[in-house]
Amino acid sequence: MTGFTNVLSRLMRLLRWVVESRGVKWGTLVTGVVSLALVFGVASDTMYGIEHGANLLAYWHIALAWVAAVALGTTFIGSALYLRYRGRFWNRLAHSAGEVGFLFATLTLILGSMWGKVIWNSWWEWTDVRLVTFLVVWFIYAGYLVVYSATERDSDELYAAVYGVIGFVTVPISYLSTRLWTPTFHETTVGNPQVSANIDPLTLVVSLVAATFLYLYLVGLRINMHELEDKILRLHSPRRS
Amino acid sequence: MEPLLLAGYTTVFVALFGYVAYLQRRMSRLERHVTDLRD
Repeated sequence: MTGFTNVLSRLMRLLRWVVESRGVKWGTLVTGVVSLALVFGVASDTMYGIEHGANLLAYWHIALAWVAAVALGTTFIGSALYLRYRGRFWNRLAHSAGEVGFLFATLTLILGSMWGKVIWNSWWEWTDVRLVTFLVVWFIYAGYLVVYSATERDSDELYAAVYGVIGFVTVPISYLSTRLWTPTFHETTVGNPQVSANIDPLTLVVSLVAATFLYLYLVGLRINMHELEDKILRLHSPRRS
Repeated sequence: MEPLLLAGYTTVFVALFGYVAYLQRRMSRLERHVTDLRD
């Protein structure tokens, strides 16, 4: 066994331990409650000079968007490792993260649309580069889930993995779009001194941690489900590995 | 509470709890299936 495959099998064991630990479940609960307490009790509802209660949607909109990127990045890494080493775990991880990432991206779009109605007075803007590229990401990962569900175990899972690698190209393009092109509505918030969104850093960080715990918990559940499905397949035909 | 704020966080809760409920229901069905196959 080479050094790198050794590292990968350790990483696999570490990931399995993280997603299955009770700490993740409790972390999700505790940070989720603290995040909501901060959002509704501490954070200011004035953003971009507009005072409106729905501005508080921003905290989970941003947190879900960032964790969606992490999830879709995990799909990319899992797919790439599956293509290289063919370990069943990597494909399970890629699909589980892709499904959770798709859910988070959907919620990001819904919350973003509602927040946009408050600060831009519009539910959706086809002229804005971030909104349109993020919608492209959403469609790409909807396609990934369709391709994965249409594949047979062992025989053509390869197609879903190739799709998972190529489809990821859209993710950095969307997240960097406001820096690559001129945004019309959705401006760069992080590291942009010209924009004063008035977002409370503590509330945002706690919401991010809560969304990350939630992501780990959901991916863990989904991987367990994959393993049970595989166990059933093995019991039906014991010769399959 | 602002209706948009209520609608937004309600959507998040319903989606997340719905997904967890779907996963757990499916898992308990699969676990039953595994037990049946072993017996």
